Amino acid sequence: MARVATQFVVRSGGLQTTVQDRGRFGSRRLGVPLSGALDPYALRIANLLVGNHGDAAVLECTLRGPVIAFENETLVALCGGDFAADLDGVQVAGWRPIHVEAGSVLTIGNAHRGLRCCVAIAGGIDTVPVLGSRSTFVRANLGGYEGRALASGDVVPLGRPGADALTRIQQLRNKAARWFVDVRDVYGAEFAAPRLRAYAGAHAQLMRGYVDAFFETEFTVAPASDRMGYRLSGKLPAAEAPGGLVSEPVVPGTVQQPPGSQAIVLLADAQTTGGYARVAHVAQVDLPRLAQASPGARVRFEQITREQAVQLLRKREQDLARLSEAVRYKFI
Amino acid sequence: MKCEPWRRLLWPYIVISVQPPHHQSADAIACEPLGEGGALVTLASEIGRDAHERVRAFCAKLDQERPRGLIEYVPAYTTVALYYDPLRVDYADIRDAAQRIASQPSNATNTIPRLVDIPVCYGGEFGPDLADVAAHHGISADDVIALHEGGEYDVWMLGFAPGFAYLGGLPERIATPRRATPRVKVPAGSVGIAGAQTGVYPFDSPGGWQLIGRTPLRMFDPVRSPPALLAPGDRVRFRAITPREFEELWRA
Repeated sequence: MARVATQFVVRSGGLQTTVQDRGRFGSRRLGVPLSGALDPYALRIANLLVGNHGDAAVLECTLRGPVIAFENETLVALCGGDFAADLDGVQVAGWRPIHVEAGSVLTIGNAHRGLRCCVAIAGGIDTVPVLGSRSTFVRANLGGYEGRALASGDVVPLGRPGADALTRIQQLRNKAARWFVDVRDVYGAEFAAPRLRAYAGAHAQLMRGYVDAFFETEFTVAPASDRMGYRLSGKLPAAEAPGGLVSEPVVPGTVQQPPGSQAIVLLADAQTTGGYARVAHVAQVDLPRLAQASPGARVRFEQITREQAVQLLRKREQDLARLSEAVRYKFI
Repeated sequence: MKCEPWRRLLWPYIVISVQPPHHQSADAIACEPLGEGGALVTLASEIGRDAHERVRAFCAKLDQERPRGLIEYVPAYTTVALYYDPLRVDYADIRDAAQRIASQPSNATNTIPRLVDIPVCYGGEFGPDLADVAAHHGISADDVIALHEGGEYDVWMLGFAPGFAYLGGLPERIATPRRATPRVKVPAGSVGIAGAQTGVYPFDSPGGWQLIGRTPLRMFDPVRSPPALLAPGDRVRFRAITPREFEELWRA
């Protein structure tokens, strides 16, 4: 078998391309955010398609992707938003495994729909784990590739592909995949106007009329939104948040209500504790929808119970297990 | 605050609506879900040494008896979050485990806190707000330094950023409101005051705290073990150093 890529060279970093995995668990008590891919669904499918372990690290591209060159052959998968992408000038599509020939250049352009794309590569990105994770937390220069977004000239190491990945490289060398993963029900019909299932948080009950208003309001994603959290502007009635709250732990998905009309949905890079009213939690299964929303997108919340959110999460896990089997059958 | 059972019978609605259940007795703890994979345990109603001791004792017991499915926990001023895998265990299991652990007698409360010395170069370019803080209280800059240096502080929790410690114990005489306009970039190691709080910025970051000095120590270093210089429960003392000592320690 020909040599398989053990690294790639970055020709252009794109707008904000970072190494991410499922997150940095176990250090939150030190104030270290979870981090990890903002669209964990895309991360998992991308890894699954190239035959990687679910914990493998990928590249998370934002709005405009990188240009990367491979000296040896490998397998890649682009999942998440729809990005213009080509391999040596030949257009490639997302949500399927793509064979990369030795000496090829993968160019990931602008996002057509959605905002972020996870690029998995056979073997996974093999930068040195920091506190048990390869996820990049740029604000503290932690993890990933030197704790920062990729830039031209970087040489990024790849792990050794496992048996699954090697088989797939061999099979796809001669015959490209004519199938892809259908994700319409995960992201909903519209990237630009996501509906997010959510349930009321601890402080919402203390705020008269807030819960009803929250689930009736149409919000707009404000420009000051990033990996820490999304600010949502809406015509919320001047909600009287309970005063003098003590800082308490918060999680990605927590919706905070500071004084004013903007609510904040905390995301992967959010601080570990917060002192604003916790008014809601976005169901984890719908965080990928929010991660794909750009500033200006209109967001609505649909009220469910926490128990339903847990059920949805379990069902998502079952779907992923079935999908994993289905993909495996494609390579027998 | 204690509430006798007979009062609860007489005034059930008032007690329930005015005070959360965790006020009712020292043994019963309140627990509520925090997202799909979290349980937030409330051990006290207000910030203070008593709350801090309860949080510490609870965490010590958690370390001894890791409930099944627990991934990690985060202590805060009055609460502890328990994070678990909701695909493996139910919220009710974690809640029951937390309540069982809280009701056990603790045997780890007598541990002597670690005392951490933090050298600080006060004033000058390192503490551009020292004069403002002094003026705010009508005292000299040296008084501010003496008071800040004379205090003994408790690490009540870590949060905001990796390794950022919320310290209790700032002398009231130098408690100062935040700056009206936050700085775009506060250098790592800066020692600041915000209201009754004092703390050290672990990384370059935007911030509105009144900066009175800077430490050459690295508050957070991911390749060090443990990576955070301070841990909840530590006691902290600040010690004034000269710019020359700062340079030496910085290079070391």
